[in-house]
Amino acid sequence: MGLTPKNPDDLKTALGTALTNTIAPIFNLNEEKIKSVLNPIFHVAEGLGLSQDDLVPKDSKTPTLTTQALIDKLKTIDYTKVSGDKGTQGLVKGIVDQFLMHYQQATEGLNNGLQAVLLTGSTSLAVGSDQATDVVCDLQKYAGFDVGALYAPRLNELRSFAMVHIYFGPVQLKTGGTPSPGPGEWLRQRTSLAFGMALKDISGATQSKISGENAFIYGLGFRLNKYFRLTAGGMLYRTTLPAVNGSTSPANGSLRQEFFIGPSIDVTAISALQSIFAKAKSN
Amino acid sequence: MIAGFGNLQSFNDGHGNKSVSVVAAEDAAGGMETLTFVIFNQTVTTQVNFTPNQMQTVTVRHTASSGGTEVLVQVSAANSTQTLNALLDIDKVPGDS
Repeated sequence: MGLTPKNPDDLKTALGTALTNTIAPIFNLNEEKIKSVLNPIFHVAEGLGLSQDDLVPKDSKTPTLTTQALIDKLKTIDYTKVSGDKGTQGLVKGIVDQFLMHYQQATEGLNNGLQAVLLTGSTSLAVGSDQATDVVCDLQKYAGFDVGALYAPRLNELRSFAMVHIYFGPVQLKTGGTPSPGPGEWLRQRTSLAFGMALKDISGATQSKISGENAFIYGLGFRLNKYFRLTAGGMLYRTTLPAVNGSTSPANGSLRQEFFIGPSIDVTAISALQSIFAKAKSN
Repeated sequence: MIAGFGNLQSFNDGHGNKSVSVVAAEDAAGGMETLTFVIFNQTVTTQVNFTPNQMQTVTVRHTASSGGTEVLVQVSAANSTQTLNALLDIDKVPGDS
């Protein structure tokens, strides 16, 4: 399902939140173990059928049992062996119960916290886990959507355009971690068939020969890197020619084509835009 | 002399009544004991009488606020090396997650 972190900052925040929520029970657990549960004044060893030396040897003062082993033993504690007084039994039970509760919070808190922040909620790192994002990630291997500017020398115009670039097979946009491809594969990874629509003149031409603002473009794209591409090809447009001496040119309104070249940026390679596309798709 | 502390807890009824409690265990001597609670930025001292080897819950009221996060609460006793620390949300009322 493509479980990939959104970015390192999200991961850092998620881990930070989970760890912060677990600090208190871990701190309390350690305090209670050393200063309360293993303190001979509370007679926990007697309740477990052990001697105090079995829990904390006098010569080393270091607890014999791990916290997990102590927890396992505490589940079988007999409070009647702690004290003959019911009130005292209840107080020691309260100490043991609190220790058990903090152990549970410490162990489960980290697991649940990580699950919550990694897999659910608004801070979810599983950006690739929803179907819409999977579609975007998969589509990205076969096509790219670009915006940029193109220049048509004979028209002497610079136009903005939107294009779709279709790759000749799946491509890998991620940099690093992949072996260097051969020359043929390298070329296939970088070239694409381009179609699109020129949108608007941005060079300030007052008398454009293009009828209306739109023109169809086609050509070949060459990806310079993950984000940027150079595209060259033909532009098809319906011409508008000015009347000379009151007579309109017979070529007016005819379909013509011109060579163009221009740089563009692959908007689907930008992860922020990718998540926007995924959300828009799922809504 | 106080020989041990346990079960340090915080209580808040949501109506301005906040307290912390601890189970304190006395040694064979018994007598009046002075317990000091440091609740975040507030110190509360109380005197409690103990019979020899008695174990009892000691509760003190306070007005400290932690802003909804866990803060350090410490209890200690005069003439004793025993202390107990806990990170507690002293603003938490029953039902808060």
